[in-house]
Amino acid sequence: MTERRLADDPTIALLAPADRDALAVIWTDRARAESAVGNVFAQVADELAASGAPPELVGLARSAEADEARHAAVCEELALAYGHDSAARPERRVRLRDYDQPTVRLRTALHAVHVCCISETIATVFVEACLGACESPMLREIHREHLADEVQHARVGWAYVATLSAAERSAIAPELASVLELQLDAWTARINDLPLAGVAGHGYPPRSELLDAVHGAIRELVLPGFDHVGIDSASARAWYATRAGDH
Amino acid sequence: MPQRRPIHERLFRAVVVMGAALGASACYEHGSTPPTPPDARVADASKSLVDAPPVDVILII
Repeated sequence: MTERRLADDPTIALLAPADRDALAVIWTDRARAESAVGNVFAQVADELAASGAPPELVGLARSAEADEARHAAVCEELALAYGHDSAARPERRVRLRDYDQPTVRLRTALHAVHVCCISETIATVFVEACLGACESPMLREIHREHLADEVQHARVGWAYVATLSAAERSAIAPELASVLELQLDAWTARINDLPLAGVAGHGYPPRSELLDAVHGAIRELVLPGFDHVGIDSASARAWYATRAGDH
Repeated sequence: MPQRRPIHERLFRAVVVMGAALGASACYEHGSTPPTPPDARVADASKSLVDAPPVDVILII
């Protein structure tokens, strides 16, 4: 249904062929990314259960796994609407590597920090910026739904770290900078693959705006978030100060 | 970017504050931390998706 309605959208037909092709590739890549994130939420859900997390949180992580499969399908439909020539469902089966932590609760916590507290939290600001660059009602609706899901997915991590003991929070703190660096590098590389000037009206603002969104998320949500849940962010802030640049 | 500040504040409340409150509430309802003993069926969750290739970083977008 999404594909049909978007295909009827005259703004797609009006796009320059290069922009249309670029969007088809972008949404194909996003479908693969969403599929991989679904895998990782399955891993996180298992780890939450194994670590004795409240069942509500395990349930939220399982819902996130299902949401990501739905997102992947929507991304595929968008790729087709923008002219991608294959309806093949992308498969990307991955797991997040284990960190060198002594307990399942700490391994779980670092995975939740990585996927939810950092990546999904950055994604909320990123998708909000993309929403502001959508023209068609259908594309806006898709982004609004995506944003609402990202908020839920990010909450899983903040909820879990709020259940940690003081000692566990202290053990997590020194690891924040390295996880944040992995995430900032990955977001920056991804954004640098996107069209420099964005694609006006089609959910992609200019690269500079997206990079500002990522840095704004780190500065205004992620780092203060760790302070909010009692995880010392000093070392992560010190590292980030070396990478913030003009953002 | 001062014009983004209200958006950041709104998302901080929706994501971080609400998320942390959800975790605290779940713990309170279960009465302890951790609130339940580890689930023996999945106690070695490090073996979850063991046949999948490990990655250093996962990107949402």
